[in-house]
Amino acid sequence: MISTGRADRLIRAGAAVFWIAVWEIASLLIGEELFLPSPVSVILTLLSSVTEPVFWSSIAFTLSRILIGFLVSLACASVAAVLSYRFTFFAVLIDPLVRVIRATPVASIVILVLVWVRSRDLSVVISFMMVFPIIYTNLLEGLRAMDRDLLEAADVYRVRRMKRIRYFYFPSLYPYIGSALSSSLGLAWKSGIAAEVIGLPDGSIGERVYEAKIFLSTPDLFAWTLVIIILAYLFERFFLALSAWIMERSAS
Amino acid sequence: MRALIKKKSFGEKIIFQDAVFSVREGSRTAVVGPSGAGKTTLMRILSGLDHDYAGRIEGAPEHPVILFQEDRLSEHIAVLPNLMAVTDSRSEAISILGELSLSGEEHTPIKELSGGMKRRVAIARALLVDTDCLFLDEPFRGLDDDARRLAASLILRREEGKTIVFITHSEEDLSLLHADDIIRVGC
Repeated sequence: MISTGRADRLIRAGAAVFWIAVWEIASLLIGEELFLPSPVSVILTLLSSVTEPVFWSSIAFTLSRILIGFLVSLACASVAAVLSYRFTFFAVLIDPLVRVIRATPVASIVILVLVWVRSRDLSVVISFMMVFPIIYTNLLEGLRAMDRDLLEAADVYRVRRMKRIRYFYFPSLYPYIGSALSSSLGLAWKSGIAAEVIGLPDGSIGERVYEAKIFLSTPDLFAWTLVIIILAYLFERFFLALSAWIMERSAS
Repeated sequence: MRALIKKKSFGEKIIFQDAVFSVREGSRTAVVGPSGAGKTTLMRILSGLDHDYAGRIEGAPEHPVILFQEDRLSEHIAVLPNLMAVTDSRSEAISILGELSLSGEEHTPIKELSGGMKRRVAIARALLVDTDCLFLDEPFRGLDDDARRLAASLILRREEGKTIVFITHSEEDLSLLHADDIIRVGC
C-alpha cells in the first residue's frame, strides 16, 4: 500500500523522467548537438562548469543583484500598498505608474534603463521594476479585503501596532503574500537575466548565456538555463518557506 | 453615563427620537427589546463607537470594552494568539481559557472551533482587556446552559464593581448577570 504523498511524488518523478526521455529521443533523432544537445551532454557540461571559479562568481554576481532588486522592491511595494490603503489620493497617484510598468515590455524598459544606470546595476533596477507592481497589487488587494469588524475590534481592545501586524494583518494577508511571492520571484529571475543578456554586465550569468549563444555552444546555453531554473526554484522555495515560518509563528 | 439622543436614524428609518438612556456607574444594566429596535445601535452610541447621531453623551466611559454580537476573532490563527493580541500575560490567557472549559484548545485554529467555543474565546478576549466599563452584545449567543452559567459567573467575578451594559433577548440572562437596571427599547 503506497501512501498518497508517496504516490504523488512517484507520479511527479515519472512525469519528469518521461519528459527527459522525450528530450533524449528528440536529441538522438536530430543528431546534432548544435540544435538540441542531449540531457547527458548538458549535465556533463554543467559538471565541468561547476569546477570553474567563474561559474560561482557569475552566480554570486547575478544572485546578489536580483536579490537586492527583489528585496528593495518588496519593501517599497509594501510601503506603497499601505499608503494607498490609507490615503486614496496616493492610490490614485501611483495607479498610472503601476499600470505603465505592467504593460511595458521588459526589453523596452531594459534599453531605457541602460541609458540611466551602469550595466552592472541593470538587473537590480529591472527586477525591482518587474516585481513592484505584483507585490503592490497583491498587498493592496489583501489590505482592502481585511475584515473591517476585526479591525474595529482591534481598536476597541487597544491592540498595539506590532501585535496588530502579527496577529491580524499578517495572517489575513498571508494568502496574498504567498501569491505575490510565487508570481514575482520567477519574474525577477526571468527579467533580471533578460536584462543581463541585453546589457551584458561583466561577470554575470547573462553574459555567460550570451557567450554561449555567440560561440554556438548550445550545451552551455542549456546548462546555464538549467542553473537559472534551479536558482529561481530555490529562491522561490526559500521565500515561501520563510513566509510560512513567520505565519506559523504568528498563528500558534 | 447618560445618552441624550435627539435623533438617530438609518436613512428614512428613525431609531431614536428625543430619547434619554441612563446607566448608573458600577451597575449591571440590561438592554432588552425586539429585534431591530436599536439595542446594538444604543450600545454603539453609549460606548462611543457611533458618532453619527444628533445628541450627546454625558459621562462617557474613557476606554470601554465591547463584546460584539459577532465573535470578531482572527480566523487564520489559533485560540491563544487571539488572546495574546490583547494581553502580554500568557499565563493569564491560559488561565481564563481554563475557566471557560477551553483547556487544551490553546493551539487549535479558530476556524476548527464550534460556534459555542468561538463565543467563549471571544468572551475570554473581552475579559482580558482592562476596563471600567464593559458592553456585552448578546454575550451568550450560541452557548448551551452550562456554558452560559460558566461564562456569566466568570464575568461577574472578574468584572465585579465595574459598569456592565448587556444586550439580551433572554429572561434567564437577566438573572444570570444579576441585572440591576433594565433599559427597554422599541417597546
